[in-house]
Amino acid sequence: MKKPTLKRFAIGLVQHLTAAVIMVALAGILFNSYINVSSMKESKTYWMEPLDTEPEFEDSDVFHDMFSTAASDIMQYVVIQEEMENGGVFDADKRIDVTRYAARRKEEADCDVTAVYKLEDLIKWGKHGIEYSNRPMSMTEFVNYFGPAASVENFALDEDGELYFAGFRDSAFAPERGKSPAAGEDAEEGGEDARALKAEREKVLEAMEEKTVQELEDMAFSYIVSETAEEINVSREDDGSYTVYVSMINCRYSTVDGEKQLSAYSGDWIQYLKLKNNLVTAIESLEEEYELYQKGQELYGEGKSNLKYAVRMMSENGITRTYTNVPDMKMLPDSEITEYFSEYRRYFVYYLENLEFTGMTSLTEGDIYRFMQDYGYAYPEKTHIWMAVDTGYAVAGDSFYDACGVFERIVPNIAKLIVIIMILTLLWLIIGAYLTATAGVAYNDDGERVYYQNAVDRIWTEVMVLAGILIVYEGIQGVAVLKEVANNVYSSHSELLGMSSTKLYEYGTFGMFGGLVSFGAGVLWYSLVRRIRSKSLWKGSFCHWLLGCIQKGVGFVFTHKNTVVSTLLPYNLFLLCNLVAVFLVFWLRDTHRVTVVLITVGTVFLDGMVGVFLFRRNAEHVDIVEGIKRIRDGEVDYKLDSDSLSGTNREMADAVNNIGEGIRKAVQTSMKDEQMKSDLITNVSHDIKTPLTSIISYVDLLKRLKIEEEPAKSYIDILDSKAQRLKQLTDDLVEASKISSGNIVLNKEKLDLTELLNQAMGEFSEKLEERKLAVVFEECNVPAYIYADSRRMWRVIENLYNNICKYAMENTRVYMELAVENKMVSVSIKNISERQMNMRGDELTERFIRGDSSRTTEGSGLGLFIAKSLTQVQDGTFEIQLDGDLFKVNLIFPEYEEKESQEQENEN
Amino acid sequence: MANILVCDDDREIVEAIEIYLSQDGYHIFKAYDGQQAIEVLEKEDIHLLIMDVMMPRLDGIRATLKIREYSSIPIIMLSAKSEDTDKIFGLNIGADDYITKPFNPLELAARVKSNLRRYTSLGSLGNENKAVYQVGGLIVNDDTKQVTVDGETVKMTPIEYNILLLLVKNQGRVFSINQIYESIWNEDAIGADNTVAVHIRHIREKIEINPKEPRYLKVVWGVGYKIDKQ
Repeated sequence: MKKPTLKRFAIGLVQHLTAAVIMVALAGILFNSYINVSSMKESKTYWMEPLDTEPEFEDSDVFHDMFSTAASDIMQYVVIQEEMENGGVFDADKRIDVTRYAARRKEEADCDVTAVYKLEDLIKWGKHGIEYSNRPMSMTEFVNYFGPAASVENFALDEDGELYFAGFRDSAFAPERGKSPAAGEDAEEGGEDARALKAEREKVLEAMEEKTVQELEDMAFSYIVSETAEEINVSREDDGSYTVYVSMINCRYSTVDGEKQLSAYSGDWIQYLKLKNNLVTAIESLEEEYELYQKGQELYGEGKSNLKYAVRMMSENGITRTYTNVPDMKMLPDSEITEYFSEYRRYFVYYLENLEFTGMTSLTEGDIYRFMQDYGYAYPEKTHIWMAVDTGYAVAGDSFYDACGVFERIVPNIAKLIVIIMILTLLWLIIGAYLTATAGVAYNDDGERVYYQNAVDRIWTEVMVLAGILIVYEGIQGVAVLKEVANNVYSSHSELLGMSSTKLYEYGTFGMFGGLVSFGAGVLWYSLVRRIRSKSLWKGSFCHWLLGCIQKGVGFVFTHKNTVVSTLLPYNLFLLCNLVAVFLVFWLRDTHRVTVVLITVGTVFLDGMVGVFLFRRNAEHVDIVEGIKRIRDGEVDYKLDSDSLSGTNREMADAVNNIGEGIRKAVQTSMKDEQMKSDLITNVSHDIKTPLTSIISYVDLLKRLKIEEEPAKSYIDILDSKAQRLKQLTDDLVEASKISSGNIVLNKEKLDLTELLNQAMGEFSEKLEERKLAVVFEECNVPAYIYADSRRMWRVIENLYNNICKYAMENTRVYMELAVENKMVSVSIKNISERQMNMRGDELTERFIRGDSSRTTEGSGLGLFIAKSLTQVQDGTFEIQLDGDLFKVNLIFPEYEEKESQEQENEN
Repeated sequence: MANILVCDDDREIVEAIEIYLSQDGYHIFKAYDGQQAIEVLEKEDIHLLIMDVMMPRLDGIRATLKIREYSSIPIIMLSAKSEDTDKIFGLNIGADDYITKPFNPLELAARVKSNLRRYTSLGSLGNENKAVYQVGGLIVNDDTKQVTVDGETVKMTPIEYNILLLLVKNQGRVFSINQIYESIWNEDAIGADNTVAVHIRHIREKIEINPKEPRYLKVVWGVGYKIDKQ
C-alpha cells in the first residue's frame, strides 16, 4: 500500500494558502473601506459598505450622513459665531451679560441682578478653572451679611396673625420689587392704602417685639435656606452655636464696571447665589463654545472645506448679518447667492420665514429644522440658509475629499475583489471536498481500496475534540484580535510613517489567521473523516480504551479466581495485619510498653518472612525461565532441579521438564527415523547394485556378440538403456537420502563461481552442441567468490546443466547471469522448456518430480531436488521460477569474506 | 600373459569379468570368497587381484590386509559401496584401485592394464632427461613432443599438448582458466570463453580411463585444473 502522503500534504498546503489569501483579500476590503471623519462635536468612523452602496459617492449613505452632520455643525457654528464675533472677526471685548446668557441655557437662571464681563475674560477664566472659597460665618454674621435682616419690611403677618419672614424687601438692588405693580397702585391710590399699610406695619412691629433678635434671625435664615437649599451648609459647634459655610466664588476678573466682588451686585444671599450660578454657567458654556468655535473655524473656515455655506439673519430691527465661508458673499443679494449655490451638485436653500426649501439633496426641511431647534433663540424669524458641497472637491484634505477618495478606491474594485474571494472560497471548498473524499484512502498493490490512518489519528478522539473546541475558541479570540487590528488600521492609518512594515503586520495577521484556522480545522476534520472511514472514532477514544482496560481487568480477575484466592487474599490479609499492628502500637504506646515491643518484633518478623518468601519465589521463577530458554535454544537434555523448588514453582518445573523430555524424545525419534531411512536406502541400493552389475555386464556381453537380427538387437538396446537408468537412479537415490538425513560432511573452501560455471560449460560443450543450445554468459570474467564445497557445488551445476540438456528446446539460447550485490552472489540460469510444464516451480524440486509426469524418459527425477538440497546445506538459496515455457533457476550465495571463513575454520 | 585372480561371491559377475579379461589375453583364476582367494594366491603365480569387498567367510578388506602382509601385487577393489569414505578406506588399507559396481567393462579392462603395467615396469624408466615428465603412467616427452599413457602413445593437438605440458611441468599447482589461457595464447583473458575448459575435457578424454574420475588431470571445481604429483 502506498500512502499518498506527500500529495495530500501539497494539496493541503494549497488549501491553507488559499484560506490565507482569502483573509488577506478580506483584510484589503476591510482596511480600505473605512474613513475617519471629524465633525465639531465628535470624530466619527464610516464604513463604506462595499455591497450596499450607490455607484456615486454623492448618492451614498455616507455622503448623506456627512452632509447632515456638517449642516448640523454649521447651524451651531453660526450661532457661536454670532455670539463671539463682531463683523466677522473674533471680538474679545464683547460684553457678556451673565444672567441673560445663562437664561438662554437654563430655565431656572432667572435672576433680578446681573453682571457684565468681557468675553475674553470669561473664556480665560473657564480655561483657568473656577475657584471657590468656603467661608465660615456665625449665624448672625451670615444673616446680616448684606445688611440687617430683622427689619420690619421683611416680615409680614399671615391670616392667623402669626409673624413670618416674607422676603428681602428693602434691597437697593431690587428695583423691580420697588417698582412692583402693587407699589405702583399704592402710590396712585394714595392715603387709604398707605394707612392700611401703616397699620399693618404697626402690627408687624408689635409681633416682632414679642420675638427675640435671635428668633427673628432664625426666621430669616430659614427663609434663605428654603430658597437656596444646596448652597449652604450648617454645622453645630461645641458651644451650641451654629456656623454657616457658604461657597463663594473667587472673582478672577473684574466686570466691565471694574467691580471685582460679585457680592457688590446683590442685595441678599438669594440674589448672590443665583448670580453666582449664572456666572458659572456662562463661564463653563462659553469655554465649551469657544472650543467648538475654534474647531468650526478649522473645519469650515474659508477655503478649508468643500462644504460651502451662507447664513443670513435679518433681525426685526432691520440689522442684517451674514455668516459664510465663501469669499465676497456677504454683500450679495439673496438671489445671487442662491444662484451661486445652485451651481453645486448637492446644495439646498432654506428660507425660514416662509419655510421655503429647495435644493438637490437627500436632506429634508425637517432635518434642517431639527438641527436649528437647539439654537432657535439665536435665529430670527427671517433667516436664509444656503449650503452646498463642492463635488469637485477642490479643497484637498477635508473629510469630504478623503471620504470620496476612499469611496473611489474601494467601490469600483469591490466587485473584482469579491469575485476573487468567491473563486478562492470555491477553490478552498473544492480542495476540502476532494481531500475529504480521499482522506484515509489508499490503494494497495492489487489496486484495492484500503483505509489507513496517520499518526495523528491514533491520538484519543477526546483529545481531538478538545483541540477542536480550542480551535473554535482561538478562532473567536482571533476575530477579536483582527477587529483590533482593523481598528488600529483606520484610526491611525494616515498617521503612521513606517507604512510598509505595519501593512505587512496587518495583512500578515489576517493571512496568518486564515491559514492557521484552515490548517487546524483541516487537520482535525480530515482526521475525523479518516477515523469514521476506518471506523475508529469510538475505538480510538479514551473512553473505549478505559472501558477496555476495565473489562480486561475484571475479566482477568474472573478468569484467575484461584490466583485471587492464592495471591490477592493473602496479600490483603498481610496488609491488614500490618495495619492492625500499626494501630495497636499507636493505641498502646503509653500503657503497655512490653506488648508494643512484642507486636513490633512480631510484625517485623512476619514482614521479613513474607519478603524472604517473595524473594525465593521470584528467584525460582527466574531459574525456571532460564531453563525454558535453554530448552528453547536446543538444549533439550536440560533438566530443572524440581526438588529444590516449592509450591506452584515445583509444578511448573516438573511441567517444563516433561516438555523438555518430550521434545528430546521427539527429536531423537525423528533423527533415528531419518538415519534409519537413509541406511535402509543405502543398503537396499547396495543390494540392488550387485544384480545390476551382472545385468549390465551381460547386456554388454550380449552387445559384443554383434547380434544384427531384429528385433533382438533393439531388445538389447532397450535392456542396455534401462539398466543404465537403473544405475543412475540408485546413485541419485542414495545421494538424495543422505542429504535429506543430514548425513553428509561438507568440505568448504573458497571458490570462484564464475570459474565453476565456465568449467561446467566446457564439460557440457558437446552435449549442448548436440542440442544446438547456445549459452549466453556476459559476466564470464567477473570473479564471484563463495565459500562452499567445490564437489557439491559441481554437483549442483552439473545437475542444472543436465536438466538443460535434457529439457531445453533445441536451437534456443540459455542465459546465465551473475551478479555480486550486497555481499550476495546470485546466479540465474534461464532456458526455454521444450515440453509444456503444468506445475509450479517449487513442485519441481520435490523428490521424484520431473517436468513430464509420465516418467518415461531418462533421469531419476532427483536432479533438482539434489541441487536444491545441496545448495541449502551450503547456506545458499535455490528457487525455480516458471513463466510459461521460460524455466528460470536462481541461485543465491553469501559472498566470500576472509574473516568469516577464518571464523568458520576456527569453529571446525 | 599375466595371471589375474577375480574374487566375488556373485558367480555371474566373476564369469562376466573372466569373459572380458580373457578376451584381452589374460589368464583368469577364480575365487568366491576371501579365504579361497588367499588359498589361490598361495598356490598360483598371480599378477593382479580383483576383489569384491562384501563377501562371506572372509571379506575383501580383511583379505586385503592379510595379503598385504606378504605381497605387493596390485589389488583392484570392486564394490557396490560407492561412498567416498568407502573408497578412501579401501585405498588406505592397501588396495591400488577402487571400482564401484556396476562397472563399465571397458574401464575395468583399462584399469587392469594400467595397474599391471605400472606394477611390472615400476621404476624402470629413467628420468635423467629433463624434458621428460612423468606422473604415474603418464609420460610427457617434450623433446619428441610425445605423450604416452601406460606405454600407449596418445595423439594430441598442439594446444592440448601445451596445456598438458604446462600442468605437468607445474605438478601440484592449480591453474585457473584465465591463467591457462594467458600462458598458452599469450593474450589477455578478457573475453576468454569456455575454450580452455573444452580443451581440458578433450585432454582428459584422451589420457584418462574414466574422464569423470580422472587420475591425472584433476578438476578443482570453482578453482581450476591441476596434475598432482604421484
